[in-house]
Amino acid sequence: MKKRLIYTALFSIITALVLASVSFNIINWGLAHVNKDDQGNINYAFSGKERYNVGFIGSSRVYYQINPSIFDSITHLTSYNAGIDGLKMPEMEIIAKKYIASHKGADYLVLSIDEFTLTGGNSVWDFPRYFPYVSDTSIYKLSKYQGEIALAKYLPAAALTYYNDPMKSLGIQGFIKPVKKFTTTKLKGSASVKANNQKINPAIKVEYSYNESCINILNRLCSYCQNQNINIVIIVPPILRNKNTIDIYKTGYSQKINDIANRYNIPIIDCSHNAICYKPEMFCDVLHLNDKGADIYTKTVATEFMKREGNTIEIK
Amino acid sequence: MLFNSLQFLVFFIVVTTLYYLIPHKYRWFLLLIASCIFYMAFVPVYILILFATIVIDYLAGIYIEEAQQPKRKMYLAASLVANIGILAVFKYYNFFTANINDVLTAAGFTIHQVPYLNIILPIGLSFHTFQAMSYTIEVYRGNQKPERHFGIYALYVMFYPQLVAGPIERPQNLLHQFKEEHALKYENLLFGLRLMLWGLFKKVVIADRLAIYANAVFDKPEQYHTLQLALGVLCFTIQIYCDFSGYSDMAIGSARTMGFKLMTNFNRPYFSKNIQEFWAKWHISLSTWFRDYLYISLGGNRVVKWKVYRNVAIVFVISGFWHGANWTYIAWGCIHAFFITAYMLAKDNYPKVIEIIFKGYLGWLATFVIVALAWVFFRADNIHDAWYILRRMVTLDDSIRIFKQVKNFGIYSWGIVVIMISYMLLLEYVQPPDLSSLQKKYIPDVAFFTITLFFILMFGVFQQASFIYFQF
Repeated sequence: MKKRLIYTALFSIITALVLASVSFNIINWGLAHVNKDDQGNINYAFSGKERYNVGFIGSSRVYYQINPSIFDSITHLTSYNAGIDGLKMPEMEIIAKKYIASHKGADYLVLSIDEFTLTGGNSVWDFPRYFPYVSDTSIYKLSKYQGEIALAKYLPAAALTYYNDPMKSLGIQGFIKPVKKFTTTKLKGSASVKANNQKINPAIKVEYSYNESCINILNRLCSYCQNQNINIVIIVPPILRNKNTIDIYKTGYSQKINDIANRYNIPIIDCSHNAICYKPEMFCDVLHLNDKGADIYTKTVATEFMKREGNTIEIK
Repeated sequence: MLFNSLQFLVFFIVVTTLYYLIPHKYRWFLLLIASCIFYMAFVPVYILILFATIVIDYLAGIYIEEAQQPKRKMYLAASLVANIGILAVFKYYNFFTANINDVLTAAGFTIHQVPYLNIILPIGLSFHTFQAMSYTIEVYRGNQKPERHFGIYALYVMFYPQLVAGPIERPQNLLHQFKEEHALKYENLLFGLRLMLWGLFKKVVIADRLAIYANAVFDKPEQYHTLQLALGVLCFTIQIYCDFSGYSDMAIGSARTMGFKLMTNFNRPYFSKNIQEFWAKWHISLSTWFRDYLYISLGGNRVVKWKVYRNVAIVFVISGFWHGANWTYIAWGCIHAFFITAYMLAKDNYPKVIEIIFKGYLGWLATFVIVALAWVFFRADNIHDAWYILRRMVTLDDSIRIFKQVKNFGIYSWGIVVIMISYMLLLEYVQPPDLSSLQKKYIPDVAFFTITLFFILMFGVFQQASFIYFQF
């Protein structure tokens, strides 16, 4: 019985781990070859080669709220929405740098800095989406913030357990029908407004403060862009204002953004107190605009962008 | 500490290894400390409540044995009042208060309201309280000698594998096992690990995946239509079985690795062909507890017929209330009370008709549908939601056309669910509940371990969701 227990344990554990590792690699490879959802945006930041005048980088409040076709029609520029759900500063730096490296010659990078971008707790939201790029040194550095990312490199069978059903399904789709070349037509607007069908809930009052390491990363990113001759614009998205609203102006948060903007001479398009913030009918939840709200927001951003940069834009 | 957590895996390996490394005379102490750590991983301060019940019942056991009637009865009553009192305060106080306040408000006394207690329900309170009560009752009945070793008695109440969600053990089955020396037997290790793996599979692969759909539907039923609501109810029906029987398997399995034999808690209940059979196979440790200590005390079946039905109905209503302080649980108990008494009544008066109806697939289907519909009350947040779901389920609409996808639960998830449930049904159909016949078959056993482990890694939902029955 002792022998049997040992053999059973060894055989089943080794076989299951090997099968799980193979499955992980299949899904991983597939995920790197899809052009859907925000995984598609990550892939595009890494693999796409098209050049745009303006690239939008930020969280869901870029991903769901900036409509490139509206922006382009107002500014007569070409723009790309590279928003990724839950993006925080450490990822923003990596995605921005990857975007710049892949899409050579971008004129502007619009960084959306909201109430949560610079806050404490640098854990990486929905981190399994970075598993396909774990061999990339800059992505691997994210494991400093989210240790599990390293599993994809060293223990793929364990990393497999972090993929949820939609990701596995997406990975299998990518494996069966891989996208070989990421083209503009497929992806442009893929991240256009997709309002969640949520009800408006009262915001939970969150005690938060900016994180000094995030401020340093933002500083570093601005400096990097300047060295690359890329202009930066900061946008602050709207939030539904009620008595529980988190107000970044009551903390040192907005002062920090202003300091950085002044240091690098970066324009800020601040929509956090615009009239739209007082119209619940424009929101699908406290933080996210609905389709209608998103169109208005994109128009505001485009108009403000042209007001501030219209005279100085030099299309390369 | 959840059984489906990495923390528990480490805890289990350390405790089981130490258990076999140290001499027998110290093992009770190791298990007691381990059980304290396990319990305190939830809300540490509530161990004091557990400690209080242990002291009360330990002393009650000794006093009951030493005293003569009517003092014996008095000591038993004191023990029962203390145990039920703790339950009443921590589990039911706010429920009664809310209802009293509703009545007061309806009567116009809006100023005079009974204050609420700001407390969290201690985890597994109903389980360890019932286990403690079974001890004093058995001592009173003379079926069990009182345990004089305080540590061993404390371990009987606190034994970590079954502390927070059963099986609710009887002293005759468990107490003596703490005194027996369990040598390291590889048969026990293999048996226990197999059952633990099976329980983990049911929990993380099936229950936690189905919970995504069931939670979405039950949390906002007004957003869904006939078909989705029916699927939500079906998902919860399977989820609760896999969640609770999965927990029980892991509890029985982890105890077995150390040589302890806990009672079977589930015996393929969804294969039952009538409601009576279902209750003989579902949450067996609770059903038999109510049978032994309440049904029999009420006279059992040694009374006139209508009293038998009354006793059965009382047991089921109280069983519903045992689950939680909410009208939904009482309604759930009432539904089962109604169907089981109706079944008994029909069986007593028209045995041949009942035999024809509840035979084969028709009986199985009828039982499954009744049980599934009753779960609506068990799971819904309130009676209003439960009624809404049931009403909507029988109102045909165009839900196929406007099928609303549940977030994170698409075709891929449905595919996994169908395959995994088929795997579970197949195994449960051909194997006894403890999978013991695999013990004798080498190749199928290795295949079971390999496939199940791979399924857990590949299809597990590792969100460390708590077990449904922990809240009771």
